[in-house]
Amino acid sequence: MLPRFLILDDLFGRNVPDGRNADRENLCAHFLWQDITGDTSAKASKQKVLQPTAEAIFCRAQSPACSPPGDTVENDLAMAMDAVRKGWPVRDQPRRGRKPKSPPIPWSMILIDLCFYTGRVTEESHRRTPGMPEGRPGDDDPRSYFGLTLLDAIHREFPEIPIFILSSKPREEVSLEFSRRGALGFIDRSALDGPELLEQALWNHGLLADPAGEIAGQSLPLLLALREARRAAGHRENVLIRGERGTGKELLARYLHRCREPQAGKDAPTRRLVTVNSGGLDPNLFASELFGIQPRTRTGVDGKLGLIEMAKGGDLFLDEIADLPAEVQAALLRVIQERQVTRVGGRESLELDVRFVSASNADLDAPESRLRPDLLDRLRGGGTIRLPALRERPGDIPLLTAKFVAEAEARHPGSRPRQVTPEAMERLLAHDWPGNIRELRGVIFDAVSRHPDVEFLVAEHLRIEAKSAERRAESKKASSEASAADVGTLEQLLERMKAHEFQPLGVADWAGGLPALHREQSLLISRLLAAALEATKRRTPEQPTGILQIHPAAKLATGDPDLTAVKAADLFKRLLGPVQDELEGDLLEAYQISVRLRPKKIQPAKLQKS
Amino acid sequence: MTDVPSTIVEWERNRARLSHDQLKNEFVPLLSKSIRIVEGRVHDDVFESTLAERVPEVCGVLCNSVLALVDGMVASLTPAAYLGVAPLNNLDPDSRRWLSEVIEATWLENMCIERIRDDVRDAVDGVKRQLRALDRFSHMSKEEKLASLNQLLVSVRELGFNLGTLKNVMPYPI
Repeated sequence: MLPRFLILDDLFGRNVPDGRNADRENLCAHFLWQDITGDTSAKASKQKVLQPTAEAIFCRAQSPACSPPGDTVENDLAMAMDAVRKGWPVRDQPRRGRKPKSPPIPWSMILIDLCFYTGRVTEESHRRTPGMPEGRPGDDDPRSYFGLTLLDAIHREFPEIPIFILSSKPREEVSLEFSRRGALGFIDRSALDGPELLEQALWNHGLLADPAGEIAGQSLPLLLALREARRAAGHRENVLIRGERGTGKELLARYLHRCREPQAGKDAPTRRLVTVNSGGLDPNLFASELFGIQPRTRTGVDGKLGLIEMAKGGDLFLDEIADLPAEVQAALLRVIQERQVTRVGGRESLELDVRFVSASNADLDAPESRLRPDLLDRLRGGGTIRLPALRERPGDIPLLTAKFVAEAEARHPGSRPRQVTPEAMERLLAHDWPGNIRELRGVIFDAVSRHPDVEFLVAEHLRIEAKSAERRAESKKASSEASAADVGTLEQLLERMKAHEFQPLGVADWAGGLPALHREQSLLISRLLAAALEATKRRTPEQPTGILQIHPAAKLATGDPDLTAVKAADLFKRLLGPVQDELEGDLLEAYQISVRLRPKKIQPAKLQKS
Repeated sequence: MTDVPSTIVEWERNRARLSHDQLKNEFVPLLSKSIRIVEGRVHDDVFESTLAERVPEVCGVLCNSVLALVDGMVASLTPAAYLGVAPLNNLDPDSRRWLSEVIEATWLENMCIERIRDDVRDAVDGVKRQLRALDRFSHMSKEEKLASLNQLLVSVRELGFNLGTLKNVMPYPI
């Protein structure tokens, strides 16, 4: 999707009596814009920009827009403001009882000229420049430029629209005035590097959708969040992403990571993004996970690259930072402060250039927050980006729905391509979406999987609870009940498992849910094994962090003191095999040892016995 | 209140029109488009077929206009013209005659008018030199075309800069 400019300019915005506005075509060629104004001048154009950098809509901001000799041209503020409004979504528009309609895509940027010539179009002025008037004495007086009046009015009514002055008049004549009235900068229209300057301005200030389409949406709240992410991408300071669950915080972290400033060029080195689930870090195992293990030839200990070191030169994404165990917080604080990391068993510190991008849905400044304030300050040193909830960006629901419908259809072989009926869309727009985009995706996938052989997605296919407020309260309660704090001990986990009852589920839910449940079960068991491995490590003065022992660990985990070494290896191999791609650290090492010890494939019958 | 002589007002209007309208708004974008066409990033069959003639034609008109502006500069801008409008037109004819010579000589000296005029003429010569390089445009390779158009653009911008500085030599700001 291309950025979209509105250009308010008398010369380039005028509709030329004989059709073709050569000046506008030349400007579009210079900046590589595609003219989508739709007036007769745009339609008469024979020019084709092969790879346009933006779409441009021109407005003369004067009446009449087309002025043959004999006409009198006057500045028209009302007409200009109408043009601005047409391309700008109105916030807080009532959603209920309204025909679903996508709001207009926000202007990426508005460019305003300074000097607007008025007065009578004479034969002489028309001969010089078709349709242009002679001009009146005050037109080119910097103290009374009409461009500054336009700037004032637009900025007052739409403070969020990024506005630049695009003029060939001297900058110094108006530098104080344009800043005072809300313009973000001045681009010399005739400058050789004008296109590059504009590209950089667009990057820093423009409202741009994600060109990769990974983050779907064009609503103003989302575009503002993307702009914050682009700005943060320009430096190497740590950034915090805030947003409710299901808003796409990890996607935004990935966007921030892949953003490259235009001036960086295409040959900029590729950086790595390493993701860490903060809640999944074991207080006893985190050191080797995060910092790595120093190899020791004398003891035969293999080295391991820590996650922080893996992200060297790139970004480390700490998801759900509020769940970070206290022990990890202290260690992480040291790393961020000193910009150095020491591997487990190592003596020397390694210099690091890692940007920490953290995410949380919790209020980290609340008194009950378990995150250390000094760590929080360092994690948001480069700024905080707030991702809007889906209910704050209802204009994106049609786009997201179309995306999820297509994805769901592709996921279910044999399903028909379908259209979403207006009633169904109205229902989607009326919901509050406490689970945000993840919830919307779930509802659409559910509807498509239960009704694969249809041409329309109708309101009846959508399993959305009517009372969203109640549901939100329930969801909040369920979420807090399931928090890590409540199942922190083995006893609590056992109690929770004993008490858990599955809600009545349909066939489709079982079909889709069981593999995921099985996978989560394997991951839960793998964490149990990890705890057992840590508890049974043999620690020596040479190896204070301990050496893995899978046999004692398996005995401890199964509670069977008679378990043989062979069966212990089989146990690790069988339980960790299904999730081997996700293993890291001690678990990966234990799995590799078990495969080395028991290289043959275990027969299913034997597995059942063991 | 001092009146501003009409010759000064007229000259400044012509200078502004030449610098802003003709050079920056019309000719520079025209050259930019020519470069984009040669680069192959913009297609316009009609424009492309007339490019080799249109650029020298428009540029030639521009250069002649600049030279005419510079040639008429002293006659139009001389501060001696203030002796012809209120309140200095109330002076006796003898005083006005000798004052006229002194004022103009001082202005010419203080503002380095001759050097400024030479600078503008040099800039026009620079543009014309680059323009002559376009004579064999249709026989040039793509790289040669781009190089010659870019050089012309640089020289035109240099001329634009000189036209801008001319505003500073006016004896009285308007």
